[in-house]
Amino acid sequence: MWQQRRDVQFSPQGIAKALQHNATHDEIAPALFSCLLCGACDVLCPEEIDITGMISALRKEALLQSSNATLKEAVKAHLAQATSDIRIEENTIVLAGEALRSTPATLNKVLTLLSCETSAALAIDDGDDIALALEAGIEISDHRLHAFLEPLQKVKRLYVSNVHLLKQLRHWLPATELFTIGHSLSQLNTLTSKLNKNDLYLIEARAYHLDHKKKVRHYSQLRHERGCHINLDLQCNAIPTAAGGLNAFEPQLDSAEQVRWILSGRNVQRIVAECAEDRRAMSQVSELPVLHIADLMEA
Amino acid sequence: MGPDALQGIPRQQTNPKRWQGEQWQTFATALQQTGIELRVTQSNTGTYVTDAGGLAHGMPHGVVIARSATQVAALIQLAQYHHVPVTTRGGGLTTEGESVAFGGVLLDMTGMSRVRHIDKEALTVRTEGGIFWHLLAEALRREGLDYLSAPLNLTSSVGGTIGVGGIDVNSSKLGCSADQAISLQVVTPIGEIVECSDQENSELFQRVILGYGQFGIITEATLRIRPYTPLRMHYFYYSSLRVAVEDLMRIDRAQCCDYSGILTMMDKAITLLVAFDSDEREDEFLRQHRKILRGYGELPFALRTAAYYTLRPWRVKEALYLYQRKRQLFPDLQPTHHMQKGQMLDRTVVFSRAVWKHWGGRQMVIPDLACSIDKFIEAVERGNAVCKKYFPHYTLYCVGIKLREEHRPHYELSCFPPDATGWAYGCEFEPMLGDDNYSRDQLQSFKNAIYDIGVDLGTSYYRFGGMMKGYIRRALGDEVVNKHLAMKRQADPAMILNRNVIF
Repeated sequence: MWQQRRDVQFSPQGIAKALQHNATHDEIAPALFSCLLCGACDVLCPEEIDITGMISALRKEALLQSSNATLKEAVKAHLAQATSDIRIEENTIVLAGEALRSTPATLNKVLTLLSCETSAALAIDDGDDIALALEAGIEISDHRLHAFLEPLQKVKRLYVSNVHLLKQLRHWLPATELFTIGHSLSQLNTLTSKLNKNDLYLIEARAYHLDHKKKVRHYSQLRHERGCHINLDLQCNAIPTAAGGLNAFEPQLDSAEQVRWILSGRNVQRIVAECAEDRRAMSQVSELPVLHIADLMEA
Repeated sequence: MGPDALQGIPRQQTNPKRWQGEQWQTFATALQQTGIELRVTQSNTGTYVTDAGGLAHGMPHGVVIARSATQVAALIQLAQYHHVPVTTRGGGLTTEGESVAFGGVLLDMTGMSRVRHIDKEALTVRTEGGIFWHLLAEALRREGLDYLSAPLNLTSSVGGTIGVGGIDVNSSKLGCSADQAISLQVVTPIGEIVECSDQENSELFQRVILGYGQFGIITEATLRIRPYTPLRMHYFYYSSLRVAVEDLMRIDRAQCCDYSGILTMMDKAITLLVAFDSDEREDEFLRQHRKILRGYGELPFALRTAAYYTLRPWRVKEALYLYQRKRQLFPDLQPTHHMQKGQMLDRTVVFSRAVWKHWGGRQMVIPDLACSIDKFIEAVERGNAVCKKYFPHYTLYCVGIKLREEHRPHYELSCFPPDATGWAYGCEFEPMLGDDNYSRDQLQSFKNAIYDIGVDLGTSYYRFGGMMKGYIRRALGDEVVNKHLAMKRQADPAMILNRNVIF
């Protein structure tokens, strides 16, 4: 947010200070809904304050109290569209998300790569609408939630593309093993061995910050071993592309500017993204070849 | 010094008198007619209610986010015309309310925080003044470059730092951060946009550098930069402050390392940091200079400390504090993801985050003293005694600052004591407040007790600003102060810019 706005109002500190001085929800709404909830602030905060939790809670309050109901109605309309109650019998399921589904060749590679132990199947309902509602802070009806979760009750292992969804699934399905797709693929040596110093590797920022302590070691090692560039800043936080999710639905930040900042000063010949939305955003701005990490299978 | 020696020295109140806003409405209307956004709601002005010190509290009448030199100039012209005070603020890291507005306009400079141009050949960078140092480092690192020296804090801004000095652990070699400025774009207190350097408008340049925001607002700066190098770090441990400080000054004089500084846990565990930019410098130090240091390695020092406390069981609480502090702090001074082959990759981040986490808090209470070489040990020891009197736990941070003779004109009326030659030395005295509640009076009394040492020793203060108003004539003499006050009155007829900071 800072990189684009350069305005303390659009920072956790600004939001907190404004609230201490009687700001109304309408006054802080632009800042609240500009946040990508990438989780970098949570990692940075020396007091270990759950800043994304605070912003998510404030979003809910803002939508309840705000006179501007446009966003709420738009997301709600989106929510009503998808329901599914087909019971899933497979042990391993992939919730791919719209961006990955839109590239079937890559999706097939993802399924193949994630089918190491047991065959991975694709969920018909991957909860994109629920992920969006979670990010926006909009209530999800019990009916919709039930339709989404019921088929997943017997699944042992879930690979999820959307991190907001993953976070909630940890509460909703405590017995299920949950993984993010990108990070899981980044652990396959058959793929990462094809990275080199001319590559820019794009970590999915939200997934990275969610388990920062564990993942920072993994990616530091990857960078060290392969010599590739990674979208990490000096603090070892991942710079998000602002692609996908609520920002794609209701743009507040310019994803192209974000991508240009990630690329600035980096002398690379290829971009490898672990998230389909990031690949799409990169392709729209950069003339370099942009691959999904699964595409390294055949590279 | 007698107990009444400081009687009659007027002390700066934590909150100066609020400007009553006589012409505010006319000014605000005129400003809005120029198209400049003025934020006046309480939720906006309240964001800037205090600074890092957390002792001074004040509200501006309105806030302007700086966006361009032209916009800042237009604001200042109107403020000068309507006699409206303007307080500039970068990261807000002042400790005596210098960046808190007691009425008038607060100009938030962080809105101007873009890197304009990096010249890899000439090794210079042109940047807007409101940028945080770590964001500048971020842009430079992409090009394999680094700044020279900057405060170890993530939210200090370039413009603010140039206005007060700025120290890093390499200041004993490279000077203060302000010394890295080659030229500046300044908006003067009457709203002119002027480019200045030692060659062009040199008098303005000399006054703005280390000038506490009195003579202009730094909207852009050209700084020297250098190729990036990781850090080879060594720590030596002492149980005597005097010995550690002597060794610090000794290695600085020998110019045998690239980074040096002292960080303490009270006066019980004193760490001398020594670091290098290259293997060659490190090897040379280990071969030729290591032997002159009287500090211990980590294990021998731990054994000595254990023996000391074994013989003094009544001090078990202190021993436990030291042990716990070490356990918490040391991993954060060498986090694995910021290290490679034993070298520290990002000192900016590692030190700044450690400072935030382990020395930060609701209030930043860090009075300091800046001395000549001759007076430094006495200043540290007397300051240490004051810390001991007020707080159970505290830290001292000492660092040398190489003075550049050709920059003498920059240093006049600055934090550098006039009698310092070669190096000045700074020591910050920081209590570990933890979750304990201290009254404003107690914290201010502590700071005054440190500042009084400075008056008594005839030295200066690194962070001087608000508190200096009461001390400035004793510290620097009437002649210099009157000269600068006259210059200020000429440059800023309505005395609008950063009122009450020094004058």
